[in-house]
Amino acid sequence: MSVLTLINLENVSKNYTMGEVEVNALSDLTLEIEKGKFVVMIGTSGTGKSTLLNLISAIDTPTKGRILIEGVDISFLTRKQRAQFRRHKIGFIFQFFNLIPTLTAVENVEFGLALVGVTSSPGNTSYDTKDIHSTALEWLDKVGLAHRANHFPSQMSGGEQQRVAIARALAKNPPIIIADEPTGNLDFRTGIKILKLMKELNKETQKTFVIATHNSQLAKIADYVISLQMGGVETYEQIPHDDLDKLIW
Amino acid sequence: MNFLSRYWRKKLIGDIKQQKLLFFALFFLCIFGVGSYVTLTMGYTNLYSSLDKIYTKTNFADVEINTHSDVWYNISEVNSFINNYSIYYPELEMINHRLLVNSGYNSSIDTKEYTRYQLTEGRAIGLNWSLSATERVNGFIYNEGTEPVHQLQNNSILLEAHYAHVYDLHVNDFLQTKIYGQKFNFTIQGIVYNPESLIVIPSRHEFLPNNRFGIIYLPLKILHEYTNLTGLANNIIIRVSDNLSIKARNQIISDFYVKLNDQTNNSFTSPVYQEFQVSNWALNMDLEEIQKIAIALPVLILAVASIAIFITLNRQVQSQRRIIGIASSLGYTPVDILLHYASFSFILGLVGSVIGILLGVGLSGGITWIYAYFMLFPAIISIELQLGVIISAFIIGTSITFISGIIPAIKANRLSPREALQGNLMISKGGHSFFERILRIRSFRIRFTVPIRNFFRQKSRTTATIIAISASVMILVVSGAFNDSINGGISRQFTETSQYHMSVSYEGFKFSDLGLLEDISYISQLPGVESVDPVLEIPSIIETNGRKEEVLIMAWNSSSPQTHKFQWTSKADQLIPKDGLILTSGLARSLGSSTGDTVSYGYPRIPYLGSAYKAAVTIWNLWGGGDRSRNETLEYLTSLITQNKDTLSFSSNAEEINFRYEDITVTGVSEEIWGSIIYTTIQTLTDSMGIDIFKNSFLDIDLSPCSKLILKISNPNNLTLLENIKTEVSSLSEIRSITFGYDLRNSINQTLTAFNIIVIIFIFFACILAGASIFTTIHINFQERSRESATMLTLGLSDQEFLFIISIENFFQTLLGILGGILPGLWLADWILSNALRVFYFPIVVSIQTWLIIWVGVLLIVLVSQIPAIVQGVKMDLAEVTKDISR
Repeated sequence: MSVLTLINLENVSKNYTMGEVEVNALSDLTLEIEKGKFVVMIGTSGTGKSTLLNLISAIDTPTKGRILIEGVDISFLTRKQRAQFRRHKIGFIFQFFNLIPTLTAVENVEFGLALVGVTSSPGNTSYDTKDIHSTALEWLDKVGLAHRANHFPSQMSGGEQQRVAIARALAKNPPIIIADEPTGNLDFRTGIKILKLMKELNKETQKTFVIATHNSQLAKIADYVISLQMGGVETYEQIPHDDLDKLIW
Repeated sequence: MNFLSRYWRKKLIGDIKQQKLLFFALFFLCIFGVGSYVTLTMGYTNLYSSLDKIYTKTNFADVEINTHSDVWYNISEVNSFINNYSIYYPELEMINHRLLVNSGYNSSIDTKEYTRYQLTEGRAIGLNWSLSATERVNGFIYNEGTEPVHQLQNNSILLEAHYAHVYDLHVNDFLQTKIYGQKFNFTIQGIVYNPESLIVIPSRHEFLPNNRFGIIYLPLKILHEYTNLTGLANNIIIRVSDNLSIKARNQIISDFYVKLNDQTNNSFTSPVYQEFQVSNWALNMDLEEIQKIAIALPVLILAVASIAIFITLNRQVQSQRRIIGIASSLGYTPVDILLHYASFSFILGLVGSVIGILLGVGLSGGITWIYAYFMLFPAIISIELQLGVIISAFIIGTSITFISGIIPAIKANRLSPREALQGNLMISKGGHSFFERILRIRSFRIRFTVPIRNFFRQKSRTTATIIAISASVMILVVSGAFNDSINGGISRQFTETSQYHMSVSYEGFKFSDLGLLEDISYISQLPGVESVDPVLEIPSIIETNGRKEEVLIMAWNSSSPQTHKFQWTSKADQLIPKDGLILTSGLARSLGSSTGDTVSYGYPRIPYLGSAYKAAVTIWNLWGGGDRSRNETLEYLTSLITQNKDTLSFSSNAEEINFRYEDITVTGVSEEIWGSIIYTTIQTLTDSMGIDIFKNSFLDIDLSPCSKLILKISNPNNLTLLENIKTEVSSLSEIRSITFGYDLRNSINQTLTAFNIIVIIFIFFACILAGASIFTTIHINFQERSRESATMLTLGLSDQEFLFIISIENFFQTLLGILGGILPGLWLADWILSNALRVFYFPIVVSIQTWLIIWVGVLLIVLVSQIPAIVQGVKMDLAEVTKDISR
C-alpha cells in the first residue's frame, strides 16, 4: 500500500439475501484508490457498484475482507462508530439529491456542517451558528447558488438541488466524496454542468471523488476508471482526460 | 369481481403482514372502541334490566307521601278517605300504610385490636304484616331466611342486608335496638333487600351511601305498641297501574295529594315519585353516568381510530402509486382498485368489530357483576345478550372504519395509470415554521430547525395527532379533576370545615330547658371534650328568582359555632347574624343567589308545641308561679312532649300544618360540598317556627330545640378516649346514635378507594389511547420521511441525535395536544360533576400532582410510543432507502 493510498480494499466479499435468493454482490475484491483522485466506477446494473460505494462509505459492512480508509480498518466498526466515520470522512452526493425538503439551501449545507463544526485550523473547531452559516454560504457561493441560499428544495431545479448537495458534501471537509449516479436524474446539459463542477472542486480541494455510474461516457473525465463485472474488478485504468463539452450520453 | 381475485387477496394479506405493527395498532383501536361501547352499553342496560326485575318482584312504590316531621295520621281516617277516593281513581292499585320511626342500634364490629361496639342510627319500619307478597308495596327479596314470615314471632324483625353485611349479622342473631327510648333485643328472622334501599342513603341531603344506617322491618301492630302511636302512621306508599303514563300518574297523584291534605290539616309533604326516591335516584345517577361514558368514550376512541385509518391508508395509496399504475395498465378497472383499498378499512372494521363485540359481551357481564357486588345487590342480576347493542356496535364499528378508508380508496381509484407509473420524484414543499414567522427567528440550531419545521408539515396529520392527544388528555383531566375535586372537597369538608369528631343524635327534638342544657353541661366536663355545639337539622324549601330547592336547614345555637368553620367565598361574607342565613356555594349557584340577596324559606311548625303551651300555662297557673311552678311545668312538659306527643300530633288533633314562608337575607356563601344545605341560628329558626311563644311569655321557659350535638375532641385519633366519651354520653336519655368522625372518615376513604379504582381505569384507557394514536402517527411519519431520515443517518447523524430530532417534534405535538385537552377536559369535568351530583357541589380543582402526572405521564407515553418506530427507523437499510423515491 503506497503512502498516497486513501482507500484500500483487501479481498472484500459481500453476500446478502434478496427474498430467498443469496446474492454474491462482491467477491474477493482488492482495490486501492489514491488520495485526491477523481475515480469513476462503471458497470451495468448488478455489477456491485453501489455495494462497493456502501462499503467504502461504511453504510454497509463486508462479509469478508478488510477495508482500510486512511490506514484505519472500518470493516468491523459498530453502528455508532460507522456513523462517526461517515460524519467526518465521507461526503455524499445522491442520485435523487436527498436534500431535506423542510430546510433551505443554506440550511441543508448547515445540516452537514453542524455535525462536524467549522475547523479554521487544526484543533480549532467552532460549532457557532454564525460560523456554520457563513461557511455554508461560502460553499453555496462556490457552487454558484449564493442567490438561492434561502430557497427551499421544492423551489429549485434538479441541477440546483444537486449543487446544494455537492456543497453539503464538501462543506464539512471530508477526505472522500461518494457519489452514486450523481447525474442519473438530470438532463444532459445539467448533468454536464454538475460534472464540471465536481471536477473543478476535485482539483481545487484535492478531495477524493468516488463516483458510481452506469454511463461509460463519464469515464472520459476520470483520473481512474474502475470497471466492475460480476462483483469483481474487470479493469482499473488511468485514462487521459477528455473535454467535458464533448461528452454525450 | 377482480378485486377478490387470488392476487389481490394475497396482496392485501401481504400488505397487512408487511405493516403488522401498524395494522395491529389500528385493529387495537377498533377493538378498543367497539369493545368499550359494547361493554359499557350492555353493562348499564343489564343493570337497568336488573333493577327493573328487582322493582317488579318487590312492587316498588310509584310514589310515596310522608307527613311532616313529628306528625302522624290516623290510618282508619285516611283509609276511609282512600276507599271513597279510589272509586274515582281505580288506577291507584295498591296503597300501603307504614310507620317510620327513628331507631338506634348497638352493634359490634371486629377490628384488628378488639371488638368495638357502635351506636348506629337507622329506621324502624312498621308495615302491615298480614299482606301477602303480591299485595305488599316495597316488598322484600330474601338474602337469608324465606317467605312467608307472616308469623313473625314476637321480638323478631327482618334486617336490611347492607347493615347485616357490615356487622356480619345473620338469621337468629340478636340486634340491640333502641326505639323511642326503649331498648329491645330483637331476633333477626330474615336478612332482606328492599327496593327503596338498594343503595342505603338515609336522606337526599346526605352524600355517601351509608351501610351503617340500619333499617329493620317489623309488624305495624308491634311498632305501634313500642311507640305508643297506636292506629297512626306517617308514610303512604302507592302502586299505580302499569299502563299509566308519567303525566297521567303525576296528575292523579297530585289530585290525590291535594285532597288528602284537605282531609288531614295539611299533614303531608309533597309526594316523592319513584324517580326521586333516594336510592333509585342515586342508582339512576350512577347508571346515567355510565350511559354518558358509554357514548363519550367509544366516540373518542373511534374518532381517533378513524383518523388513524385515514392517515394510514392515505399513505399506503401514496406509496403504492406504481402498483396502482401497473394494475391499471394491466387492465384492472378503477372500481377494482377502489374496492381493493376500501377492503383494508372494511377488514379492519369487520375484524375489529367482531372481536370488540365478543370482548365487550364478556366484559359487560363483568361490569354488571362488579357493580352489583360492590353495591351489595341481591342476586337477581340480569346478564343478557342484547341483540340491539350488538347490531348497533357492528354497524358503528364497520361503517366508521369503512368511511374513513373510502377517501384514500377514491384517491387511488382516480389516479391515472400514466401519472401512477411515472414515479416522479416527490419533493414535499418546504416553508418556515409558524414560530419562525411569528418570532422572526432564523437562527435556530439546525437540530431544532428540522423538528420545528416538521411540526405541522402534514397539517391534517399533525392536527389529527394533536386531537388524539387532546382526547386522551381530556379523559385524564376529567379523571384527575374528579379525583382531586371529590377527594379534596371531601377532605376539606371533614377536616377544615366540619371540625367535629363526634356526633350525637337525639331520638327526636331535645329542648333547652327539657334536658338539653343539662346534657351539654354534662358532656362539656368530660375529659377530652373541647366543645359541644347543639344543632337543629330540619328539612325546608328555599325559593328565589323563580327557582325552588329542597334543602336541609342546619341551625347552630351561636353565630360562631366551634365545630364549623365557614369557607367564605367573598369579603362581604360574615358569620350568621340574627335573621340571616348562609348558603353553601353549590346551592348559591343553583339558586343564582349571592351575599346580600333576599331569599324566601319555608319553615315547618312543630305541631304539638301550640297545644303544649296551652297545657303548660294551665299547670303554671295551677301552681301559682315561682320556682315550684316552673319545675312542675317543666316536668309536665317533659312527660307531654317526650312520651305523649302523639296525642297532640296526629292529624285530627294537631293544629293545621302550614308550611309558611319568610323572607331572609343571605349573609354569606360558604364553599362546601353540600349543594342543599343552609345554615342559620337556632334563634332565627325558632322565632320563625313559633317556639318563642314560651320565651316571650311569663313562663320564661326556653324550648329551643336541637336534634344533634356536635363534639370537638382534644385528641380525635385516640380511639380509647373516644370510646370513653361515647360510654358516658350513651348513658344520657333519648340518645339515638353516636358517630365518630374517625369512622366517618374511614367509611369515606373506603368509598373513595372504589372511586379511585374507576379513575385509574380511566387513566389506563387514556394512556392506551394516547399511546396507540402516537404510535400510528409516528409510524406513518417515518414511512413517509424514511428517505429523509436515511439521508440524515447516512450523513452521520447518530441514533441519539436522530431520536432527539424526532422527540422534539413529538414534544411540540404533545404540548399542543395537552394544551388542547385541558380546557375541554375541565369543562367536561365541571359539566359532569355539576349535572351528575345535583345536590352536591365540587368546584373543579386539579392539584399540582395531577397536573404533573398529566404532563409528565402524557409526555412519557408519547416518548415510549415513538420507540418502536424509531428502532425500525434506525435499523433501515440506508443504501436502499436513500434511493427510494416513493418515500
